[in-house]
Amino acid sequence: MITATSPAINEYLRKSVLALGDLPAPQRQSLLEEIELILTEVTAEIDGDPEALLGPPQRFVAELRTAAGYGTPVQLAPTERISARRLLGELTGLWIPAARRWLTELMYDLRPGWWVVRGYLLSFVFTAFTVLPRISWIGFVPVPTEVPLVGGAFALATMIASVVFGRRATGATRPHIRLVRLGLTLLAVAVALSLGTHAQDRTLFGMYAADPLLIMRDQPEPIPTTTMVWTEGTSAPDTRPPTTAVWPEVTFVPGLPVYELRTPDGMAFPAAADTLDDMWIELANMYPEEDLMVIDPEGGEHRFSSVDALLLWLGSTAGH
Amino acid sequence: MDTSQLLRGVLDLAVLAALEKGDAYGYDIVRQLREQGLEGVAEASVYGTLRRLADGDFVSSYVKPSDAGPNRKYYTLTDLGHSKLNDDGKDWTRFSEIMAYLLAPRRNRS
Repeated sequence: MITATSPAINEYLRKSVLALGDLPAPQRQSLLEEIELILTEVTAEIDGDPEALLGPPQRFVAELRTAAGYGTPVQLAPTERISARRLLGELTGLWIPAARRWLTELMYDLRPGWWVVRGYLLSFVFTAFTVLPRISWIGFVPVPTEVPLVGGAFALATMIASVVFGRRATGATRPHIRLVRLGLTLLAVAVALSLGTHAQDRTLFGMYAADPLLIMRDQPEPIPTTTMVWTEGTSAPDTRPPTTAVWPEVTFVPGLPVYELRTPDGMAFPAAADTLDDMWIELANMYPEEDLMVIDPEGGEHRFSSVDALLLWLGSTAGH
Repeated sequence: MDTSQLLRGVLDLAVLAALEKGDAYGYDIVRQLREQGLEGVAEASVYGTLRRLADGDFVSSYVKPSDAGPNRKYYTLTDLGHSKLNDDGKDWTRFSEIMAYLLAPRRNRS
């Protein structure tokens, strides 16, 4: 099979240019692309040299032009010479379109990947309209419900839907389909920018949240961070039952004011920040080195580099 | 008689009729027309006709990946194309009936 970059096709195209020289540049370029597509299509159907399959380029182009309504080519007089500038222009006109076609084909080949990415990004948008808008930082999976697995399934579903839409909308010329496609693309790009802005915060917070937060109550008692929740714009404590079986659930709504960070039985961190984004950074930078921390009833902070050191300290404290 | 001259006048109609059966790419239409008896149809004529029909919004196109080769440009009839096929088809039928009537005595003589 002869490929689009085969010397035979390029040679046929080069000769075809001469029969298109009298047309305006946009028409000439458009026809040249059409001819390349025809050559690729025909040589994919029947193995052979383009000239053997379609006849001499000049005759083929003349027939194509006539059928397309572009008139017959203006024949050069036998004594007419092509200037070096014109020849250079024609040859350059072959290379630039070839590069453009290569790029276009590459983008075309990459589209299935983009459809998947678009579906993933859009899953965050749909999540934002659920009752509990949140984005889990675990694996960057949107969580529209309390169950992270549902978020993963939801993201998978939107990815599949995006691929199905992408396949059906391929080459669509209907305005409303193109409009929908453009809208989805812009929305996905907006989500990507938003996620990119907060990716660093999430990473930092993830490192922090992986550490257990210990609160001193009447007796030294570790409270896993799985029971820690954000309250969004309200001082009402979260009434959801604490669970230690999963990773910490952290509500993430960029830009939404957050006044307090609470544990179920009391405020752990008064928020000096105006928004969750700011608070994230503040928390993430607060204890960058320590693995474990205890806050005593007087508000004193005790940090430990290992669980053994913490247990040793807890034992000595309990003895008092 | 040079049938290519006749074909030139009705190639639009032939291509539209081929597309009425379903979306097809250029060479597929060439093959269909040849299989239906228009052996003399040239690739350039069909591709050029498709381009002109597309310029007139009688057909639209979309690119479809192919398992067996490069991506192919498929053509589909638009509403305008369906309308043209209907109108031109009636004209052609009437014309061919007239020609058949004119040629009938000659056929009877031979």
